[in-house]
Amino acid sequence: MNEYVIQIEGLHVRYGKYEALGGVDLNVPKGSIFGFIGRNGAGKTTTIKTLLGLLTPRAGSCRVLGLDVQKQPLEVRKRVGYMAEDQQMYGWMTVDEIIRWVGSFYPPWDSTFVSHLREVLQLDLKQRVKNLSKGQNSKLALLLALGHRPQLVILDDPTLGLDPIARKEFLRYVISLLQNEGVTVFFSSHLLYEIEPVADYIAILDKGRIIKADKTIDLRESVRKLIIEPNNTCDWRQIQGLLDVAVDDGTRHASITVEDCTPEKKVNIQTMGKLIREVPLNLDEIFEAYVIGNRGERKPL
Amino acid sequence: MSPTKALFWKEWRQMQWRWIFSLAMCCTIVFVGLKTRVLPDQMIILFSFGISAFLIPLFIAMGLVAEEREQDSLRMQLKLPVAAWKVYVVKMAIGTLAVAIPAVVCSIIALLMAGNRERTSADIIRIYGFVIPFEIIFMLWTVVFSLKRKTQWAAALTGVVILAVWVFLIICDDVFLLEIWHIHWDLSLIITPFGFLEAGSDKGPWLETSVAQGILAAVLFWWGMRRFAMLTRSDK
Repeated sequence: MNEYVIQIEGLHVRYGKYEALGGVDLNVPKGSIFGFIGRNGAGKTTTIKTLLGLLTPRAGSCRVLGLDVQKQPLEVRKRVGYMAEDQQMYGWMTVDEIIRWVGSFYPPWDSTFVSHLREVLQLDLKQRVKNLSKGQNSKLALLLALGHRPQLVILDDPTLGLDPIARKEFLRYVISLLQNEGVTVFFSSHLLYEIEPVADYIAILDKGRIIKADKTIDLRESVRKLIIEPNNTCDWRQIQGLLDVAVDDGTRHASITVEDCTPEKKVNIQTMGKLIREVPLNLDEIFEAYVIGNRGERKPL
Repeated sequence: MSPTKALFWKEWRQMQWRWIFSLAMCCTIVFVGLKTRVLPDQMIILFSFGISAFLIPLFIAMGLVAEEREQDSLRMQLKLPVAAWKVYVVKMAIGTLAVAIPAVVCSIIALLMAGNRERTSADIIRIYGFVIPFEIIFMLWTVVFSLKRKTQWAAALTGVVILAVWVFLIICDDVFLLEIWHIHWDLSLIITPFGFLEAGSDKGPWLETSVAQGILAAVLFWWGMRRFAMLTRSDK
């Protein structure tokens, strides 16, 4: 088995004239919890649909668990557990019926594991799906995604529509369950605080392109905000890896966000002004810097 | 349960109430009408014929794909490890059964209650014999042309438009009269399933209609299968 469970190369997907993905390259290591983040409409669901063979790319290739998605889409779907965002299920079925129905499409369906999971998730077999609450609906969708013991689980905004408590509770279930199973989790969301505590790797998607992919810990270490008192002649655009600059008109202090913030880079920055302090960033701020950072595109002071 | 059985089970359960409602409505009209004899047998049979030919196919077609699109449950079905064409074939098979069974049951009731009474049994069989292929073809056209409709009412409207076009072709049949190899061909009776109505009559192009409709249905079915597989894309 390859060390990567997902390998995407140069993926281009179009909806008519609209380019949803414009050359995505991504590798997801085996056994990792991989956070796939991006704003609404960035192309997260399109990437996932392509990974499952539900969309045909215009160019590029995807391999999932060593299988070519375009050539063997059904084999890929058999091996992958997929939980879609805001999944609508057949309301007229009972929980028992939908479990048995979905199970019939997966030859290695593990009924014992499903029964155990159903007890843990407290789902009533006789209840109709349409009568389940949103939280219970998400739990059922999770159970259906895991019943065949997949090696890879793809969660596409799994907590969409849940209240904050239900969201935390749900994620706690999911992560503890999947970590015990040792499966790879590809977790897409636009709620960064959901992903930050659990993800080993992060990829940021924006306007159909991966703008950063790294280990979460490395990303947190390498992206820094530096507060400096700038010289009058400095030009921010000379800083390599500059993501964002904000100048406080009152104090005239500039906060600059840079990636790959090495000691050499700090020395270089200090030639432009006096370093006052260095601030570590959380994922939310890092994401913001990458996606809406101004890259120093302002008039130099 | 095998995947194919599971598909049939789900489609059948989903269409159950529509099928039972259609069956009950049609059979009640035929049974009560022929029993009470408030109208001539011919009228009762034609009335049930109208319901079977025009209303039931629309009603069933609305439930096959459009209902699932309206409820957004089709996404769940299409992400399972089963080929989209299989889902489509099972849907059409269940749809065919659901439209044909009420007509078959009605014809049996009519034969038992009114066979050789005012109309001959052969006449009754001929009338219902027309209904069954007509309604299957009407359902197929409605389903295929409404695959991209997102509501049941939009799908029903598509069916009504199809019917209106067919009626228009029949009304303007002069335009479609052709003479090929010294044979007069009425294209309007060949390209619309109304040609079945002429079954058994001298001028009726029954055989031509059957062949043309068979070919058209096969092409439509294949085209529908391709469009259905594309639904995952448009359901973004």
